[in-house]
Amino acid sequence: MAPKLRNADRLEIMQGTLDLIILRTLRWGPMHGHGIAKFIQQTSGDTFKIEHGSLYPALQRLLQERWITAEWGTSSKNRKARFYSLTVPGRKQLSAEHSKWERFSEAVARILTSARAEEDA
Amino acid sequence: MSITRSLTKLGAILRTKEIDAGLDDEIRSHLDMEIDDNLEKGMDPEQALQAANRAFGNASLVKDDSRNAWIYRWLDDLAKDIRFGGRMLLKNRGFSAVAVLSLALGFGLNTTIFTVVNAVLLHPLPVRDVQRLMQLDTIDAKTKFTQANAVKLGMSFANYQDFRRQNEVFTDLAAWTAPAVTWSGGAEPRQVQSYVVSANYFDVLGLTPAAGRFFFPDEDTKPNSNTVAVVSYALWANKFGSDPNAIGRTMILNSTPYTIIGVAPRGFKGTISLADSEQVWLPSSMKDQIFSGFDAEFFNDRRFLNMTVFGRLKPGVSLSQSEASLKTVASRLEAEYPKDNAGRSVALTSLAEAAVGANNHDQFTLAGGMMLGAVGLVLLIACANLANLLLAQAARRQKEMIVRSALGAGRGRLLRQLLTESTLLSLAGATVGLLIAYWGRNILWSYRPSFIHESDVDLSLDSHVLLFTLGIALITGALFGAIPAIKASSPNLAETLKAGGRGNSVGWRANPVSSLLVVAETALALVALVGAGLFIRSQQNAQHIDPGFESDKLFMMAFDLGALHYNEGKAQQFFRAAVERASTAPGVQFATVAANFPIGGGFGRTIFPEGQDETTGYRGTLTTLNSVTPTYFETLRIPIVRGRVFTDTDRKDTQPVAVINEAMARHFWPGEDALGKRFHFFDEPKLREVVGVVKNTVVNQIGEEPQPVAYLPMTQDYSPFATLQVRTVGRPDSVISAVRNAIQSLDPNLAITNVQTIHELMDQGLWAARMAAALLTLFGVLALILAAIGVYGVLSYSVNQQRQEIGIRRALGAQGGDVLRLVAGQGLRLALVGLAVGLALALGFTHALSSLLYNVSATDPWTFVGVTVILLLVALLACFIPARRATQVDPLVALRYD
Repeated sequence: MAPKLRNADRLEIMQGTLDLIILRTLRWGPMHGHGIAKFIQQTSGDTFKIEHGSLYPALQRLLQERWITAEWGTSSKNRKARFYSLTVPGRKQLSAEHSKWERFSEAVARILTSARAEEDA
Repeated sequence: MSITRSLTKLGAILRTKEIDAGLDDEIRSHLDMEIDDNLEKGMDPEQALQAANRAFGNASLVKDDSRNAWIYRWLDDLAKDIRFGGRMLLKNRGFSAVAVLSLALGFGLNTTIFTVVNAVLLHPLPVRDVQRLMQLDTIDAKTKFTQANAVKLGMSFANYQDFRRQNEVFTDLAAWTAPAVTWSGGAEPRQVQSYVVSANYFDVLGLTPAAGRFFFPDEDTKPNSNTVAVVSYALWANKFGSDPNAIGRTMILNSTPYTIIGVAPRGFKGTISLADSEQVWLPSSMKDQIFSGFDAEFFNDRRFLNMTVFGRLKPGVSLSQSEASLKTVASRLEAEYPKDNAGRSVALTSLAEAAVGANNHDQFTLAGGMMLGAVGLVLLIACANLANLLLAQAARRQKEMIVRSALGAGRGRLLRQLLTESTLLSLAGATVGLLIAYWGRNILWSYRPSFIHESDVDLSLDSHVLLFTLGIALITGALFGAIPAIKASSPNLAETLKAGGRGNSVGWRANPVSSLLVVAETALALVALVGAGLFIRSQQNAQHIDPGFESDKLFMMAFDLGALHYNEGKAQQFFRAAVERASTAPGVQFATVAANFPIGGGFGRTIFPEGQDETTGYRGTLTTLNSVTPTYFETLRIPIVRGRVFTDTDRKDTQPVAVINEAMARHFWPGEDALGKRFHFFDEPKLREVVGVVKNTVVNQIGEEPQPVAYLPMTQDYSPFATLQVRTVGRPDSVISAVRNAIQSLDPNLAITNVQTIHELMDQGLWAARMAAALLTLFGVLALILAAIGVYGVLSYSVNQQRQEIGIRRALGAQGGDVLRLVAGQGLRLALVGLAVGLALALGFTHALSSLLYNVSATDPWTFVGVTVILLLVALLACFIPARRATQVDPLVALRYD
């Protein structure tokens, strides 16, 4: 039972967001897992404390959806690494998810601000 | 926990290269990079490693999750496919019902036939490790045999004992023979089947008793005093009410009391598949109490092949090794006993195959294979229809497919969806099919002949049968779902637009898949019908085959005076009294006593003409003997050709005489007058003179080559086992019970069996042929109907698709006749190709069936022509109806159609 619960709990909350973040990150070009982790950490200003490991199940999911592809290559420091890049459906998905996310966060923000307005009043 | 484990297991199955090959390397390289960064930040190596691990989290959990991501996805898709498929099927109820029903019909028939094949041929005997059990049979290169299939001949008790002693390849050898014995002591004496066996019989089979014990190893060594019996489970249940106290009770068999010591395991009825389920096993040392007549006289004769012998191969010994080793023993025995064993060696058959008779296995397999083949054809046609339906369905769903693929569904994904749907259909069909099989089996079983009892064959729908049905369901689901699925899952947008969303006419170029299906259906239906036709003709012929005697107004009963230990003088008296009582009963014309049943074979001995014997290089011929009383030939109305038949003056002390049939005369004295010729049996100096020649009769089975028979006077060659055969003036039914009572009154302890008219007897003999013809006809007609539906369906669909084209033609002045010719022509052309292919196929395969046919050539022109004509007419009809509908297309409606 354990892994199922774990997946359900963590993934339900994180899944969509993490997927979106990864897709967005890959817009800059092919990147390996370590690079993606570093990038997210740096751009988010360390807001997200993402366990590096949690990227990999997400990457597998994105692979299945054929939103990204993977290829073995060599890193800048000459280590063997797997490079992920966006596919055409991946790009479509990103823009769809992106606008959805914007509407979502806008709506949440609006609700929150109106709530605060009431509190203030 | 268990779900984790099962998921991990599933993961192992579904694990793709992407996950496994890569993930470990990838994680390692990730950690290395992180360590590199940490070192750059100035951590010492130990810290750098720890920090990297901390940042990464639990690596093995990550691996699990990554792997599970695939599995969940797979399961999720499957669940979605099933839900969606179910919805689609429910939405198209008519389509689904037709598909499920036609598949159910196909699966049901296949399962029914497989149930029988499974029970008779595949059901391994309920013994330990049956693959290691082999039957040993004598093969004889010296003696001539006139019977078909007489190759493997059993073994003499004397040779069995030597084989047992000298064998090096079997753990042990056991022997049995199966006489019917009379069970008295109850209200009415009755006959029961018995096995007279070596004491190690159950040990070699590896059985343990259901109750009590089996024989001790030395319990077959004291002649006449090993009075112990083992009974079968069914006999214990039916006759003793499964009473545990039955052990220790006494059964009087052939006038000797035996103590029941044990009960055989449930379902075990000896090593014969089609045996009675009520059986008794007795030790071979009791032979003198059990046997009489020839069986007693020759029991220890080294030439008398009365036993069946089997053994269990020692571990590690191969079949070829054991065969070689046994041949060596056989040639040693041939050298040691040159007179009896000359030309004789040994052959092995697996005991599982020998269970239907060492010489019958091929015939049974052929018959079973033919039946499975016939129902297989019906199933194939049903599947072709299903494929057609799915194709039509697919064409209707083209839009859906285009939309879904435009939305990003991969081709594999669409294919899977469609295959899930067809598999769902198949499984639904299999479920209904099992119901049909259950019902069909009961009907089939209710038509079994009276000599097969309810419990003799285990026709349960066991795991073999269920697996078989599931297997064919999944295979056909995949196979016939695949054709339309492949077509539908690659929707070609450009082509669809070009064709205006409509299909084309039926024809090779326009629609190769549908065309192929129509051709295949027609061809398969033709093959099925040819099979049916051949067997109908065969059965008609069999019914009209002259048995050589007049079978009307004739009845019989059987009894065994040996069971009551009659001596010969008392028995001869009994025979005379029986004939007299019977022939003076009202309504009786003649009566006779004979050793053999009509068409029931008989005891055979090797015959040499005068002046020849086994030392002169002459090959004697195993010939069927029949001891009869003088009235035999007039009772059966067998015409006399030359000389005389027996009279009361042929007695024990007069010249030994014989009446022979024409086949025997021709066999031993070709081109000569057999009358007055003399012959003798193997190793017996007494010469018998041929005093008469009579017409041939059928000896073993209808349809056989004429078999040589020597009739001997009952007074000179006494047989304690005998039949009373009675010719009546009118219908025999009303006379039977009076005669039976008259005979019973001669000795109330006598078990009278097989009281039946000769018509009933012959009907039983032809039961298999009749059943085969009836079943094949049923299958043939079903094949025909399904194929007709198929052709009709394809053509109607194509007419629908061509409405516009037809409308335009009509508008441009085409007459009804032109349209009719156009549309019907399309279908008929395909049907004709199918007929040609079918004829070629049928000609190719019916040869294999020759040995199952009575007096019909496997290429019987009447059958082939008749079937072709029938199929052609049906095809015409199936094409005409849609074609006619096409002529009614209104040009205006058609033009407005788009």
